[in-house]
Amino acid sequence: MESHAWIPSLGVSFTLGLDGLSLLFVILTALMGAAAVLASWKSLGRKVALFHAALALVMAGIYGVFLSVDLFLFAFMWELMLIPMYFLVDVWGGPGRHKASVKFFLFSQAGGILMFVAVVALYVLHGRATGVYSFDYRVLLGTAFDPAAGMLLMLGFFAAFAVKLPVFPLHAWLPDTYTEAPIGGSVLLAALLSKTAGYGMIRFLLPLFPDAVRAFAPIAVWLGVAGIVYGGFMAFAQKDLKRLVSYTSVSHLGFVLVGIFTLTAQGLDGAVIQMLSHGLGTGALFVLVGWLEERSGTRDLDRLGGLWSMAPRLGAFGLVLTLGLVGLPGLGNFIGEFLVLSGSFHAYLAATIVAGFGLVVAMVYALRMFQLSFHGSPSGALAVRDLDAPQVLLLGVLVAALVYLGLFPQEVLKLLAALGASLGLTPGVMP
Amino acid sequence: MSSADFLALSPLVLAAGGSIIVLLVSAFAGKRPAPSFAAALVVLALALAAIGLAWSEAPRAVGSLVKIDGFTLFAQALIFATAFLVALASYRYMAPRSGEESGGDSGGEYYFLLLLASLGASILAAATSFVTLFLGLELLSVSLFSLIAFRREKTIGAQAGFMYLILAGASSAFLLFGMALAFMATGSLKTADLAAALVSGTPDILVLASLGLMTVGIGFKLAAVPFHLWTPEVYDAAPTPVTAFIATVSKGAMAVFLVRFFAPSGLASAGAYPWIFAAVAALSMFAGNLLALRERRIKRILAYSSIAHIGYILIAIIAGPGRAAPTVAFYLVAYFAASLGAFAAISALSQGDAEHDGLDSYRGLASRRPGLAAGLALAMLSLAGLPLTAGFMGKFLIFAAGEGAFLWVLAVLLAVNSTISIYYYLRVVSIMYSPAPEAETAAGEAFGEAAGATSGTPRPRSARAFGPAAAVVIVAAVVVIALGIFPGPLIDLIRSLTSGY
Repeated sequence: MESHAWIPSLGVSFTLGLDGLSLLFVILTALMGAAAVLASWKSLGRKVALFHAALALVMAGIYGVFLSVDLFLFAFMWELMLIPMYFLVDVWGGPGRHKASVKFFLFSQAGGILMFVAVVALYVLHGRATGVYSFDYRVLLGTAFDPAAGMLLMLGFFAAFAVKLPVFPLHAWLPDTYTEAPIGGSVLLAALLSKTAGYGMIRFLLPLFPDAVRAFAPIAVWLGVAGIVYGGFMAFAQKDLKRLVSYTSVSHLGFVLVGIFTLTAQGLDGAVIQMLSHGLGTGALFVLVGWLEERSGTRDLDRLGGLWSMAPRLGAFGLVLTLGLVGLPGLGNFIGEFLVLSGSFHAYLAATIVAGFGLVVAMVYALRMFQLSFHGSPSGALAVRDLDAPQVLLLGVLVAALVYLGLFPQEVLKLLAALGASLGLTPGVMP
Repeated sequence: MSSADFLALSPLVLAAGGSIIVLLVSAFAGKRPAPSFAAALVVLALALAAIGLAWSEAPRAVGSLVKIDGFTLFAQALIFATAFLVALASYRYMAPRSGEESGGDSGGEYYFLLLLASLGASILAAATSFVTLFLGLELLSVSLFSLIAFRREKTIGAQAGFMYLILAGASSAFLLFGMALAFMATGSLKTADLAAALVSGTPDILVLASLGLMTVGIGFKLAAVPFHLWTPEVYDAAPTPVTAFIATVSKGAMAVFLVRFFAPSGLASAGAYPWIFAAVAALSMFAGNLLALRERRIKRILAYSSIAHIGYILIAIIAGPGRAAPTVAFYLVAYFAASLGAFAAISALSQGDAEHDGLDSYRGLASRRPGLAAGLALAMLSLAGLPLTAGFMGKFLIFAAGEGAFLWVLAVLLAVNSTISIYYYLRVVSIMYSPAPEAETAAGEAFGEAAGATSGTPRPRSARAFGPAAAVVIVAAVVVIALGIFPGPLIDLIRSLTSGY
């Protein structure tokens, strides 16, 4: 816990704190941030220094989000992530980068500013009720609202998180942005920015507005399920490899939403594990796809094919990560999805069944993707170098972390154990 | 008048006397603008220093005409400092350009008019009576007609000056008639008496009519919707530093007057008056931001953006006592800094060659003039209200003030608008940081900048070298970032100065 006065007359302090939940995400950030830098080692071409400056600023914002204990600071950091991220996409992205980056920014900004309104409203309402005007999370915790106000404030926060996660109808920016972003940018977007939303829900939404969250939970769970299925089907329909991976994210992050809003300790644990493994797995997959594009000049599944025979190391990592998408036992995703589904089983049986069906869809799109790109006969024009040693090392570390998460989830859950209790969540069944 | 009165008024006295001296200097300086420029800077610096003298006497009401208190002095300091920076940014911009007939005079009157306009704005910010309100307003307006049309070789400037003259004249007429009605109803020319008459029970129809008519005059100066129609034309046609002055000092002084009129009287929470201003605020935000979306000329974009910002400021003004003054004061500093940065960057780009106005001429600016591009980008981000800039803190204070007064709808509208506005601010930034169009060299000939950069012909030295306008960009950038990270000291200072509001 680190605390300094910032704007004392308005009750704003610069307070950072680290607990089990934050620690996990800070580790993920450090890992994936390094991966983003290493992955874009060769691919930039121009304005390299500016790129890394922007990347470092995004990282600063992300660390800030994971560590803030002051809500003003949290909202500040939340918006801080956006600007350099916008530049990463807008300056170094693919051909459709201008449209994609603006879409990303407008969606995120709309959500972020609504959250900011809610943060200030929370501050004002708490101040009026108690006479203590402060943005400190610990002070604001346990503020009592009338139900309507609580629901509106909760929705204000939810708007920001729903855009960033993304939640199903608000995901429209995601495929474009993930696809057009440069390698480092899509790694940050997929691996870290979406996690800030899940983290925000667990850290702020649940404890600050318990009643409103309880009332809203069924809707959120079904939105999550819709995302799982929709993302899966859309992924199946894609021809562009990077876009395909983007849609799998919509699907996987749907599990996170379901897990959090089951309001059970299991669901919450599952959501956290799912976020960590999505960060590692999909982050690594974006690195892989980016390198693949650099080498082959295409992401079109029709033009790829037979990569395994040309680049076996690339193929091997592709296989492991694809199996991660499917949720193979032994990798983190399996634990996450299993915990989420078992958490939601009692309260939301129908939703659980539909979400389980989403896993079947995942199997289909993942295998289709692998088959079209890595198997088959190489098309004549394609010549792909295999990964070199540093690249193998980078992906190796990420995959190792993913395996660790799959084999020893208990270590992670131990860190989280205190959290579920403090949120007042009963294990297993909701009362 | 006692000596204490003179001390309290010393900044105004210095500015008034100094403006005459500047005029004399320009008359005797021949064809060189430098002496008048230097004299104007000295006068403005002295006026700024005199704020300290006046502070020793504050708060002090001089007759019933003006009241010098912490808030007034803060506003006056802001006005003089801004005028100082505007004068700096003007120097090279207003210098005669190659191929243009200077008409045989030095252009030194420009600085005289600038001083006079600042004086008018400072009186406006201190006014507690309709007499001083009108005096300040007319001083400001009359100087501005001439400033807008100052470049006589360009007919478009004269057109815009004339447009401003007619509209300002008409709005002054409304204002005067409103004052006359107020005098008829209350028998007093003090603004506080009108406010008291409005707050008390069921006000006379004359009082209501008076407020309505005066709203037109005030709304014109603020360029709030529906009195905003002159803004894009005048912004576009006026010399860029003058545009900066209109956007900042001219509007800011009126906003300060409005706070001083509204806040202490409790008018903000009485009957239907806040609703009128709430409607004007909402309309201004939406009209400004939506109209800016389709603009392709940067000064017109900034014109519409300023309309939107007035909408934001109005939210703070109707947030009522205790909130309005500190919020508006901080917001004005943030907005002044960002606007000055933007306009100074445009001036720096436009000196020595053609006016740099069309957005296309900004393509690839980051490669040609990285410093100016960064300054302009920072100003845009601050106007958009993004974190690490003063604009974010300003927006936060407006949210805090608005929500503190339970103006929920306005707060949400502000949120929506700030999202819309991001689009056009970012477009400017995005264009500057995209690569210059290599293939469009021919098209680039139209813009001296692009042609000079791509074909290798050296541009005039004055355009390339570091000038006072670039210094203004740096000052503005430093203020924007400093307030974006450490707003605490300024907020505390403002709070102690505005404790009476």
